[in-house]
Amino acid sequence: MSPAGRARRPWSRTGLSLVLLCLPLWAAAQLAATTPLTTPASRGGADRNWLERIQRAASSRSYQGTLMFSAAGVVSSSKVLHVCDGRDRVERIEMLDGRARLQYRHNDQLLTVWPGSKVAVVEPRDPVAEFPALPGAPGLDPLASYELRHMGAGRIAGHHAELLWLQPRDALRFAHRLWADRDTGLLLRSDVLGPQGEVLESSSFTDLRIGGRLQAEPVLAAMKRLDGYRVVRPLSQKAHLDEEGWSLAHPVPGFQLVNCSKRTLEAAATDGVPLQVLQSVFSDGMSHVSVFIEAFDAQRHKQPMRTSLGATHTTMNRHGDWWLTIVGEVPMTTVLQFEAMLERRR
Amino acid sequence: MLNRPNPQIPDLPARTQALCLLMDSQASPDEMDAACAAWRDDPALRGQWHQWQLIGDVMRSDELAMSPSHDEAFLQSLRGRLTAEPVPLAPSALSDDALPAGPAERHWRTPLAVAAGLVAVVAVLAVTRLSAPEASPARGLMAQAPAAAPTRPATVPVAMLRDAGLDRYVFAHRKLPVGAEMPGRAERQVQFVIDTK
Repeated sequence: MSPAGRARRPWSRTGLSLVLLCLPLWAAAQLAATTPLTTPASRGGADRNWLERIQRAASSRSYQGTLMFSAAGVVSSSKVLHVCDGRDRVERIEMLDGRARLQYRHNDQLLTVWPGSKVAVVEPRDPVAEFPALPGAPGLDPLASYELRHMGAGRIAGHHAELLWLQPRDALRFAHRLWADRDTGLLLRSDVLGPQGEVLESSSFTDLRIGGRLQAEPVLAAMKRLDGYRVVRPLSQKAHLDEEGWSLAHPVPGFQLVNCSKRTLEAAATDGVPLQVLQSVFSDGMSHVSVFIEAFDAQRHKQPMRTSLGATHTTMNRHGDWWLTIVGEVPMTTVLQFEAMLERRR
Repeated sequence: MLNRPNPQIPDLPARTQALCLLMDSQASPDEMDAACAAWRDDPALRGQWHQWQLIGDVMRSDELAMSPSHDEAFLQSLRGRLTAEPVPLAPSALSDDALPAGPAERHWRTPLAVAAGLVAVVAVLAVTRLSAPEASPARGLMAQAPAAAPTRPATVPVAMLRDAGLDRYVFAHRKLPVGAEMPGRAERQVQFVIDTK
């Protein structure tokens, strides 16, 4: 073979191999272009039922395990015991990190105990639920603000789980990724995701036993053993935002007022004065935002600021004779929108 | 005025009193200037200032009271441990088989490599499109963000801060008692806001 022939042959092979390889790829690309993005999901009502199962399981199942919470690279964990015997709902949560703290819950009563300082705090249960319940409220439909997709199966804490994706319908909230136990619907893990898909915070069981013979009596007995404790009952009084002279000029899309109360914020370490604030809680069914209003105090309220930690964004700013603090597991855009929409009517 | 006595600590020297007023945010602009100048010139005063800040830190959190050498010792120990770790993949001499191919083989290997690269790129694109990955929907919708946020205050560059005063709001929001350990106790990214109204 001449040198020229040897030089041409590789190019003919190249062309042939490219054609052969591109044919199936062209077919795959055509298939991809005609397949809707929602292929693995969109089973409509079936997926919606998962949210109802999660809420039902959180309030009606008995379980015991270890819960881990992480945000911004910091992790804390707690041991959880939750007993439902039909009428009563009893819960015991023991924090495993930092200062010893036990939290007991019997139906609508919440008791927090600090064994180190011998202080016990008694307060009514907050209407906005915590993990493993979804932080919704009666009458709120998360699917008005999020699109629900069933993304497949997984395994969390040794349990087979179904993975659900709640995609926000606008930029006012973060995406949520939920793993629910396939058999009972109990929420096993919940992630809040940033706009780039990064995990901003995560709550997850690391080990879990669902059902079995769990006893409520030891928890109820422990709630009564408060000898030697200083029992504190923080003031909290139901209130109405409009009766207090405040309103939102325009509602923040998707968020509804679920609770409003005049309450005392316990003293922080730096200044020993309990704060009297009006706290309004708004929820979209998956995230909630607290708006705190208090009288402006030049000594304490020095510098407006915005902060972010994990999914929690905060703004503090002066509003005439008032000081507003807005906290929520939502983007800063949303927090600032609450601040802008809040107006004093008298 | 610099000589204004601090009613709480009447026996302190004037320079220390000025620093005290500065720390309590009670100093007038003149007193602030004088206190800063004194702080700059007097090493003893700088020591005093550091001591007061440390007391404040200890009152806010036990962790802040930790000696800076604690972190340094931890890092040194971590570096030492990493150095002592066995290397799972050590470089070794290439065998004859791994040497570059001769001219005849190179002729068909090059187009095949090009084709394989194309296969990889298009296959990734196709799979990405088919399976609608987790991150992409969020990104897509966030891109349509309405410019709804008010832009009234301007912000200065971000700082890191621990603020016990802010913690109590975050704790109340998350239904945690003050003093609880939660990730919110970590440093937050903070923007101080300058109202430009």
